[in-house]
Amino acid sequence: MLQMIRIALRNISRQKKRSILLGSAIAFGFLVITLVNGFTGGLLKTTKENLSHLFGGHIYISGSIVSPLGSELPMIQDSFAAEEAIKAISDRVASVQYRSKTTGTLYFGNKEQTQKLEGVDFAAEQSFRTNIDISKGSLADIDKPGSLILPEATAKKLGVEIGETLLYRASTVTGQQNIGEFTLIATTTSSSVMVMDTGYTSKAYLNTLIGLDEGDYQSINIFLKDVAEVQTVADRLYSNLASNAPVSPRISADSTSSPRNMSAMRSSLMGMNQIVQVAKEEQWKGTKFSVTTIEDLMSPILSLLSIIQAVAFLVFIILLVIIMVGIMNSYRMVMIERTEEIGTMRALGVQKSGIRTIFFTEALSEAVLGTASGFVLALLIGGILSLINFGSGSFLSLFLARGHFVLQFSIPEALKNMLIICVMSIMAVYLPARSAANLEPAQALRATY
Amino acid sequence: MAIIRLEKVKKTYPLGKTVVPAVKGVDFEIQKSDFISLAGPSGSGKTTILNMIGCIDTPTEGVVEIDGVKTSDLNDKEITRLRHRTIGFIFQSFNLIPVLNVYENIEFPLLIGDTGISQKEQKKWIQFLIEEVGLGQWQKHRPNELSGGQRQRVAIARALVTKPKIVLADEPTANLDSATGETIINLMKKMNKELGTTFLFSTHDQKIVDLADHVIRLKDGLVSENYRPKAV
Repeated sequence: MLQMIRIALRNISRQKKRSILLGSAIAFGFLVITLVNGFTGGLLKTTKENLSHLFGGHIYISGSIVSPLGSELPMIQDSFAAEEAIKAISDRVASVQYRSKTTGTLYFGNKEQTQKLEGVDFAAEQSFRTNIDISKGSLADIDKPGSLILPEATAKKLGVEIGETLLYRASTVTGQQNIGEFTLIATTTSSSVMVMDTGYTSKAYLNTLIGLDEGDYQSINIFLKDVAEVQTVADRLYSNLASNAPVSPRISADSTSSPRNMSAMRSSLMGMNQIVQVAKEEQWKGTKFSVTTIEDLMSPILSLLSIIQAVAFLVFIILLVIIMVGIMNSYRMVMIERTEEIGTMRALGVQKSGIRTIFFTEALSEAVLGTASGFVLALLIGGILSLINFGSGSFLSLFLARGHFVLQFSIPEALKNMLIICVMSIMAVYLPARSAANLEPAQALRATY
Repeated sequence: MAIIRLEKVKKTYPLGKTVVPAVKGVDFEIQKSDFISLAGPSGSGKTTILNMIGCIDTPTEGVVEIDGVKTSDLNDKEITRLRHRTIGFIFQSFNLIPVLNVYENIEFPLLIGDTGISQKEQKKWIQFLIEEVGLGQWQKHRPNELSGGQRQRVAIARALVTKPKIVLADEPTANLDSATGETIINLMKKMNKELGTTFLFSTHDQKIVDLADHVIRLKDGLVSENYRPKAV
């Protein structure tokens, strides 16, 4: 057997051009699927990171109360049930943030810009100062009322400089328009997510603008230690919450959630306060909680990525079938060229299985070498692509990490594709190998081509 | 007991719609350690008979017995094993494996099945054969780097490496000049004497026929003469 493998390996170098061509075809197929998988894997990762940055966490608990006039107001008044539910999952939690938020319009001179603002309790959230990536200005005056941190792109669009004053118009939770004055103290480069990147100000100051008390908040954002656990942890959190307080049905990525509900949830997370009148029989007491996760919000993107991956896999299989036809024809030629050699081996005592082993080993070695080369090429191309800066501020930036594509290569996925190629290569040489093994030695020795 | 026995052996080949008889009913026996020439003109059936004795072809009719075993009673695996253990081949066009060097070509038959020889003994034996055929300096060379005579020496060593009872050589000198051809036959004879291996070779060269202990002459697929030129 070892001798057959040795001969097979030497046969590969015997016809270098043909081996290189076959190997290159396999490498190309593997390169395409690895790049697409790396690209979609990277998209998933960066989009998740960018969205979690935009919405400020992995799991979001939002709340609403019913006003005396029967309107639904987005705020959390009694957080006991939420605190208890979070305690129960504390082993999985990295940090918890209590935020209020709104989306309104910034005015500076004759320019205006829609901007989401989050109210942060800077005294309680010490990690905010260390995590945020400041491009200009400083956080020295962060505790002063009206201090504002804006995304660099927004500041640039408005033409506002550090220390200058801007106006911000937003809706209160009860639907009235209100205007506040803010002073820009710093700009961030940290997320560059779409045009709707987040700005930050003190929670107390923002609350006065949107009609909340100083200590109130609208959402509890939870960062997990491991984002992969987000759905299971969210389910635990939801059932804990449901046992102590009224809850809205879970809005999730599954088909049962209506697009309208998903849209309402996204609007709520963006701070786009919508005033809804609650029918008397549907009204509740205290705070009604909702639990949403980053994956729930990403469901349309996940569907898109799944389609891209499925199409890429189909293209990969079609490419492979074409390559396999090439391999089959090449090995038919190999069989004809080596007929006398096969006859000699059979005459010397090589069993039929030995001849098949030579063919299979050659094909398998080419498949392994081809896939390995394809993988290295994919890493190289991925590395070069990730060096290119595509800039920020466009919709594309949702999928970028600071302007760069991130390609995430999955070893198990690569191994799975490698296995598919190896199995298909074996299938492609099966018929030529069988024909070669079944050659009558005397006839094979007589053959002249 | 005869090491090779042929009884009423016939072989026909289909050629389009007709059937061509290559061997028309051949009987002979070959004794152990003989140096036999299968002589005759082209088309007389030499190669066909050698192929049937070498178990790489089957007779249409009749019995071929190798070392007491009827080849028709064996399946493909058993036939292959019999070839490997009992028979060595030397071909007219050498038929060396191009990707293996001299040493590896000679070693090849030892590595494709159980020969009952230990690895240490195998190496010693291969080295002995390489020296015997005069290729000590060439053992790392591949076939395309050797002359015709050298290639046939490699083939002789390869045929003997499994210590077979029989070596079949189909026109071993046909692709060589007459001097080299004579050297090759002398080398085969030397190995026949030293190792006691039965050598059966086909040729149409009378000078080479004269070197045999036993001559079987064929004509039109039949044995025309079967004699021993000198006492063994």
